[in-house]
Amino acid sequence: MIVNFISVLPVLLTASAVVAAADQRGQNDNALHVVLPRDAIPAIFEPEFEPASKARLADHELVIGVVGENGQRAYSTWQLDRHEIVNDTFEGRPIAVTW
Amino acid sequence: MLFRDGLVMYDRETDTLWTQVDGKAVKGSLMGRKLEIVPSVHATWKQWKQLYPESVVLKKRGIPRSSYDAYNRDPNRAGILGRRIGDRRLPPKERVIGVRTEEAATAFVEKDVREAGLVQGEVGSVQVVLVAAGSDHPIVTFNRRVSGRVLSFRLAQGAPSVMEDTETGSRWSLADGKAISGSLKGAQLERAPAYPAFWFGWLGYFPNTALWKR
Repeated sequence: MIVNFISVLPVLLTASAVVAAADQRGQNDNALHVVLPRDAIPAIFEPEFEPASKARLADHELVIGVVGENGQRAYSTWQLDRHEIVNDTFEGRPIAVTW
Repeated sequence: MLFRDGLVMYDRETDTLWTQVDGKAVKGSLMGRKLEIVPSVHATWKQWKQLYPESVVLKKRGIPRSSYDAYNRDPNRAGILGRRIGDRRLPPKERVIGVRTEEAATAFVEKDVREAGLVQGEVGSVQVVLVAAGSDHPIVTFNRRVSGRVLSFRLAQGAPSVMEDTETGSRWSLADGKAISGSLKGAQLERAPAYPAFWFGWLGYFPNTALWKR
C-alpha cells in the first residue's frame, strides 16, 4: 500500500525542454502545473542492477545511493533524468527513488 | 506535473498526487499523508565507487550526459514556471544541502560545507554533522545523537573516510556511520535526511528554512 512507500530524494530539477507558460508567477504559487501528459516520462517499475565494477558511468556522473545493512545501491541521475522515479525494494522496504 | 518547480507524482493504486520535495499527498484520497524519507547518499560516480566498491548500480545504457546539463549550468534559469524569487540571501541556483526533520528545515551551502570539511549544525532541535572529507568524498550527513548522547566530531587525521568524536576519541566510518574503534566501537550513527537542491527550489517548499553559510 502506498503509504508504506518511501522516498529517497532528489535535486530540484525541472525540464528545460518543456518550457510552458512562463508568465511571471509569485513565489508562493500554490497551483499544480501540468507541463507534460501523465506518464510522458516513464517511471521504472522493474529495476535491474549490475555490479559497480562492471558499470559504465562517467566519473563526474551524479548518483543517488542507499546504504543498507547488507549492501548498497546506486541510481544514476542521468538515467533518472529520463525516468524521474524508480520503484524498488531495498532490504525489504518498498522505496521510490525520485529525481 | 509541477508544484513550485518540483516534481509531482501519482500513485497507481489510488491516483493520489504527491509532491516529491516534501513527500506530501496534496490531492486525492490519501491527501494529508506523508511519505517517509529514506536517507540517501548523493555522490559523483567516482566518489561513490571508491566508498562502496561492492555496491550494485541500476543498469544503464547509452546516456552520455544529463538532459539538464545546460539548465544546470545556467545561473539565470531557475525553474520553468517563471516564479519570482523574492529572497536575496543566495543566488537562486546556489546548490544547497537541504536537511529536514518533521518540524524544521535547514539549507547548508554546499560549497561552504566543502570548504569547511566538517560542519555541525542544527535542524530545528536536531543536531547534525555534515562531512566532506576531501574532494574525493561525497558530503554525508548524520544525526549527532547516539544512545541519548550528543557527540561532537572532527575529521580524523591521516584517515580519509573517518571522523572522530571529541568526547571519547572513537573513530567513525563515513561510509556507514559505524564506530570502528574506541570505546564506542560498534555504535551506529543515524543518517539525517539530506539531499542536494537548488536554493530557489528548496525555498519554494520550505519558505521558513534556516540557512547555514560561511
